[in-house]
Amino acid sequence: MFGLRDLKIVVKDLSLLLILISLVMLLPVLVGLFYADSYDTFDDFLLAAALTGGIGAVGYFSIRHTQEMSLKHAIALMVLFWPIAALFSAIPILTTGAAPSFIDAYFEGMSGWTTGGLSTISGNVESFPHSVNMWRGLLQFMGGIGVLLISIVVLVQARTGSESISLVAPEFDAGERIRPGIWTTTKTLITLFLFFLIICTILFLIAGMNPFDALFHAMTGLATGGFSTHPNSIAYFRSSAIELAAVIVMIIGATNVAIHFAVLSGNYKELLFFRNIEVKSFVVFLIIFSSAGAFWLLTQSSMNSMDAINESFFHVVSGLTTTGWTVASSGSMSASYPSVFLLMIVVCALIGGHSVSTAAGIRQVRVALIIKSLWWHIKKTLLPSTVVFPRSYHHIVKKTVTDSRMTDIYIFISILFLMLLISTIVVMSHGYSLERSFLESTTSLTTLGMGFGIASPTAATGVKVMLIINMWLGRIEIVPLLLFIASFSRKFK
Amino acid sequence: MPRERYSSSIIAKRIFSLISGVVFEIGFILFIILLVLGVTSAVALLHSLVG
Repeated sequence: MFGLRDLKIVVKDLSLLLILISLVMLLPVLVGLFYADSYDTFDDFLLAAALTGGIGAVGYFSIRHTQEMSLKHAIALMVLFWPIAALFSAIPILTTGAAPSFIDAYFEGMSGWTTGGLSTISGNVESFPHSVNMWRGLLQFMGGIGVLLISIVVLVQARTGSESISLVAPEFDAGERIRPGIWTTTKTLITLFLFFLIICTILFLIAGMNPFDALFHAMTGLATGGFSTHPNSIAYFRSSAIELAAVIVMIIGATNVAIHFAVLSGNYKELLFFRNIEVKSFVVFLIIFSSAGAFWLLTQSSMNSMDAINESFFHVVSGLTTTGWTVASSGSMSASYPSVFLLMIVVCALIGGHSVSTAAGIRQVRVALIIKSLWWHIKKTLLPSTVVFPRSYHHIVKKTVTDSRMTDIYIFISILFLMLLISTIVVMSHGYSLERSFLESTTSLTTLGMGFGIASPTAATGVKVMLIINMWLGRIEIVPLLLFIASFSRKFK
Repeated sequence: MPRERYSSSIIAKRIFSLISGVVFEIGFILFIILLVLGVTSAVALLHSLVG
């Protein structure tokens, strides 16, 4: 059962994270100084950093304990971290005047940390000081790294995550003691992401972005977050080179970290022969959806072939990687594309990117295993019962699927769709159509973040709260919240 | 515990491995983009021929 002693461990760790967040809050001030932002903005960030760091320091230094962190503490930490981090991160967004109300600032904070990318204030981003935009970019970048740590530390331990993890962080196979592994993995992941940040910033610079936009989009693209410094997202730039760079950055962000590690240490075979189940399924989905999307744009809109091919491909990549960047020429997805095309993009987001990547959704490995399990089921039914066949697949290494593993996948997907249904009903009850309610619920739950016209400062508070909950649950993959609630029961002493 | 020391040749090898890895990854992604755009263009061409 989760008791006061357990709470102390979690609060101490949360406090340490708040201190780290307060230190990162100082970076936008440096950027603001460089771009000569107003001094009032600096005060807002310094006060927010002092408040966040102060509360963190009080929590960290006043709690003493010697107990080792275990799985139930890690689950509590991941469940509670996002809403608390979003709360403190919203302070400078509110006090600088970027958001008109607390709920909009909190929405932006949650969207940043969960790498959702959905925003109620995206219409005004061009008027924000550089420091505020830098803070938005940093939120998504930190959120992206945080998501990976969660995938590695918690989801795998709780048997809801990926199976490739032992290659990224073999120390987690050992058992319940997880703190030594966290620091090693954190250092490795931060190094990898800073390396990719440099590479992706250079790509955007070569493609023609200015240095600030290049750094910002590299941060939000790698995190598959989708924030932009322009209301029209990538469409603002009207550049094929920037669109190509954006596609490369999104795919890097949505690729399994274990594959990055393999390739960067010289193991090219993992990619070269399409052996990996996630690489294979990702390419197959890209081909199917990109072709279908181009077909629908040609038959149901007045678009020429070249634009249909380009825009279909870009949005399918944006959907599958759950980034949410758009190249819609009018700036509005709903006004630019037929309904079937929009539905296809959110289906892409539901499928999602690789496991152990910054992308969300059901994730490639789960979808691929479901498709494979259908085939295994047909074989099992039609072949004589004496025939035994291997239920294996290649995911970094050769693996075998167990029934228990498939049950985990089906439970996760059932809860995801139940949540989607509840969210659609809640949004519809505020007077929106079924189509828009479904699209906006999916875009928030999958952390796609492509706006379909509901998330705005004028939306009802109930809708904003629902979308915030969606982004949070979509990011933590729902099951850990159920485990956290269950840990309070006396049945789990 | 004494800190691990790396010779300059090991560091050079690691840097080369990193750079060649990134070049390979970006090359692979470009190949995928070409593959997908090729198939998508074929579908669009088919549509214009039939329609």
